[in-house]
Amino acid sequence: MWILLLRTVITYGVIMFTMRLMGKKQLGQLQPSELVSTILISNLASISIESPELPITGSIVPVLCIVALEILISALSFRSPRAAGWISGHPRVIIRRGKIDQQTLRDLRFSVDDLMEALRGKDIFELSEVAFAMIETNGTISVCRTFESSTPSNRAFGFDRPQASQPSLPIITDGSYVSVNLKAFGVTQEWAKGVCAAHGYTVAQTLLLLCNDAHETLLIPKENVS
Amino acid sequence: MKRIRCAVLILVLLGLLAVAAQIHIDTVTHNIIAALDQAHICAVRNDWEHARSFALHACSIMEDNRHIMEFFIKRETVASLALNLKGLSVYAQAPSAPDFIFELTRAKQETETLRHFFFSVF
Repeated sequence: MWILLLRTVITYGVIMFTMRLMGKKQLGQLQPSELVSTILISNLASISIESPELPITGSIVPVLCIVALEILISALSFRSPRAAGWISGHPRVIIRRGKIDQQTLRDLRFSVDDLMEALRGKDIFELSEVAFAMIETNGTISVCRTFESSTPSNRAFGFDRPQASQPSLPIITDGSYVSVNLKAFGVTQEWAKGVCAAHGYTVAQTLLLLCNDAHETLLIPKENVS
Repeated sequence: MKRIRCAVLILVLLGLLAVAAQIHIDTVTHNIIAALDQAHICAVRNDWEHARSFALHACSIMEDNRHIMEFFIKRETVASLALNLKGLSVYAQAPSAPDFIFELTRAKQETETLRHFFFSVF
């Protein structure tokens, strides 16, 4: 049993090391330790299902061990920035003031094509639009656009703030009241019935009645209602 | 903090389970091998009655601990050893002495292999 635990720890360490060695390009959205845990757990979980001749402890013990290690490693990362650096690596600046840091690009083994592809994924087709870009520890790219190419905000245009601060939610769906949302917006069934009547429909004839916190409504009647 | 405590608890429990498994498998396989050794000595001395009783003792040790062993070791391996030990006492008589020695050696080898698989890392 010690051997099983030891082998699990060794496998975890080896896969973790290889994932770190392979670098950020091999990673998707997950941090290295999370990816290792996901791969190992998904494989281990299938062992006892696929091989009934093996004891179930052969899957459960390693999975529990991996989960415990993952929690302890994430706790260690949280408490110690240095440990976090060892385990997950550090974000790297790849574009600074519109200029590609070629040394970082080489270190990360990112080709220019990879970089342009990642930028296109962020709807950026011109390098000149980028002020600053970073490769995060999970392998994704974060981009800050230049002032000239950044999208202006509502505040910049001086738009008035709308009355509603929350998105609309259904009050009636398919002729039935949604009591949770009625409560959330402080309206009653009678009020909703009145809104339907104002549009010339009954509640039963209403497919969808949306309402927001400013009590603005949108009604969609059922089609082919006799 | 709760999760960290839980993780530490899991590791401690797994450690205890591992120690228990280690001790149990070591004791059981050691006892089986000792019984088979005794049976071998008795067979060489032509003491077939004791040889049979030692063979039956090895078999009973296996039967008593089989379910716990299957909790930690591949069931096929445990079942194969249990089957071999079960048929051993039939050969414990003078006319089938070579067969008895052969089957004893095989059962011992199988027990050693089981120990090896359980205790070896690589």
